[in-house]
Amino acid sequence: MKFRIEPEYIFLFVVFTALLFFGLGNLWGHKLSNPAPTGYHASDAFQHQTRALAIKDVGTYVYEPPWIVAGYTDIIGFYPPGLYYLSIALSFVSGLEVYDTIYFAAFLFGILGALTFYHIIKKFNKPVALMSLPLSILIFTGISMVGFTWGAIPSLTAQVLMILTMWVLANVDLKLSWLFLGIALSATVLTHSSELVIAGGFMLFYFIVTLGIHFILKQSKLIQARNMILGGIVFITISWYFILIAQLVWAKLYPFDPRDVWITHGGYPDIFNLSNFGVFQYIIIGGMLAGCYLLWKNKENPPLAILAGFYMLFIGYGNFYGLNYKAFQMRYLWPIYLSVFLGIGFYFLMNLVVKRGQQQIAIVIGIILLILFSGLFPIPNVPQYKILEGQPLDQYHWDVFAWIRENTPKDAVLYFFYGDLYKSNAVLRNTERIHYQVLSHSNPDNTADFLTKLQQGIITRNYDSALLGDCCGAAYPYWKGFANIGFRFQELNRSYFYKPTDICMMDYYIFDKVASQPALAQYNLAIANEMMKSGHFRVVHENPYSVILKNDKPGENCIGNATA
Amino acid sequence: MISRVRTALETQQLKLEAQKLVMLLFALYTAIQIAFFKESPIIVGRLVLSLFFLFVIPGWCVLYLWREKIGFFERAVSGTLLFAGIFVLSAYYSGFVGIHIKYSTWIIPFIGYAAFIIQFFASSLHGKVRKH
Repeated sequence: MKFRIEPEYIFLFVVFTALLFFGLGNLWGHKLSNPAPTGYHASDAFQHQTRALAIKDVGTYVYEPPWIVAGYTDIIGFYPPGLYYLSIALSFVSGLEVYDTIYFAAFLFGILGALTFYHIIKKFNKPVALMSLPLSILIFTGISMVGFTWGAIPSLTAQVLMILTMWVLANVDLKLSWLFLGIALSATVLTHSSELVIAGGFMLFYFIVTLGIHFILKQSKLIQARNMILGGIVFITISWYFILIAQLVWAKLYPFDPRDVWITHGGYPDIFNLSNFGVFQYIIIGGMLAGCYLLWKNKENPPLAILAGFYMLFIGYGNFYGLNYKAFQMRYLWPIYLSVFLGIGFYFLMNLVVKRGQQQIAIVIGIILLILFSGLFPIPNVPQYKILEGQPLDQYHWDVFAWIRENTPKDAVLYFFYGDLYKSNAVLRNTERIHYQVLSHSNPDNTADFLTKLQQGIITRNYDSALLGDCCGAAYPYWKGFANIGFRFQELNRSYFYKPTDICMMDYYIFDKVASQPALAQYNLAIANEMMKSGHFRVVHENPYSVILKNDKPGENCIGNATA
Repeated sequence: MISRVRTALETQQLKLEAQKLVMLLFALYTAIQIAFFKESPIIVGRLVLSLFFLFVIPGWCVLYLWREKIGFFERAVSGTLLFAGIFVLSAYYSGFVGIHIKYSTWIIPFIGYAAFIIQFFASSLHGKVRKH
């Protein structure tokens, strides 16, 4: 027995390195350790980063940390924390910050998902697998990359665990596969619950196919069927608690409605469609037709990769039958799921010309495809990688959050005045303190109170403010009794959290000195000066962007009716 | 006699697997260093060792059971994901009995290592992988 480096290994190394280089490497400017969160392009992205940071500090996730849920201490840890735990562990052992490791884990797992799907494809045809894999580079560009940088990383990681579930199903006749199946399903639900429905659906689909082969085609498949049932039992045993939460919280708030049709992805830029594959969509469609033929030809042992490809195509169109935006999240990884059809398409083309040495030729085609997709040479109608460089959160704001975390009492209450950055208000949870924010967004019917007062040139003790938290996804669930969950956000109503608030009650105030509209920053500073005049305020931290005031007498009048 | 031959074969196979693990370690290090070429080799090295300690080796240990049917690289990739799953489940639920993640991070990988020891010494699992 001797170890030999196969051409396949070199090919896989090249693809792995390219995906990491083009994906996270480019986003982070090829640095691993960033001075502040980098490549976070939406509030949701900060939501995950701050929750991971919170769990790292608190140590467990039985309940939500108070600063994430408007100060409550009994809100159930409702968000699937799988990715958070992976990033925390990596952070502890490697010494990198959680805001780096959570992205690293998500990107690395995306690549491992592509490699695992490669192995699923390889089980029925190696040259097909080799020509399929390069398409995966497209998960790190365009619409799919939005999934990574806008905060869909738990969903993407759960999809990778769903691919692992598929891989275990592909090996379901092996010893203890039922145990691994149960673990893979449990890890999926604990990373993003909705992916469990997709993974469970595929398992059920595969189970029915297996039974069909057993009873109709008379091929013994009882062991496989038994292992799938056992896997389901293991899954329920391990995950009953989180299934309960998913059922009582998520399924209750977002019931499945097949009439719920989504055409656009809310505020997201775009939707992944087959047309995004450019000219290669025709090879993929050809591969689908050939895939139907292969399924028929191998009906006694249908290739799981083809079944998975068709299944994920069907799920990707779930926006038409009740899967709403989650269907669009599934499409982020279409370059992985549908890669099998690209590989089959090329395989059939290759078969017309070459009959021998297909594996070597498949590697060459794979490398050519990788170069084509990588965008090194712009070619029209070819789906190509486009570089996305992530901007770091500016150091001054990051310093403010760190200063508050390290220098204020745990029960301090903060108030954030206007800041351009704070539109992504989840970023404020980096302070790890309960916090309010002045409401500065107007709508067509109503100008924000803050802006009205700015225009009138007056400063008052009350401003429309928000007691912030992760309110609106799960409505602050808490245990009311056994298997009975209440929702504080619904019970108290939105007006309890968004209302005119006496700003003199807080402990610390954060004012931005710079804004895209200078009037807003000037108004901020006018309020700060007015507070200083009261005599019980002092500057405790300042940098060129922000200033933090400490209120030594919370509750006492801090502002007369002044003009700005 | 049979058991001695079996043990020798096992040991030889294990040596080969260990060689492959070392190769994988270098390959992963190289890939990450290329992707993050502006980063210091120490930070990259620490990250790679962390990945190996937390997920890759424990995953390989767990899937050593399937070594006769599945190639090394496939087991290493899927084993990493599988053990990440085991890690997530263990860390989350150990929080319910009050174990801080800073401790469970260091303890949980040993579930994988223990699984390997059990496989290596439990004769009922020796090289037997059911395939129907």
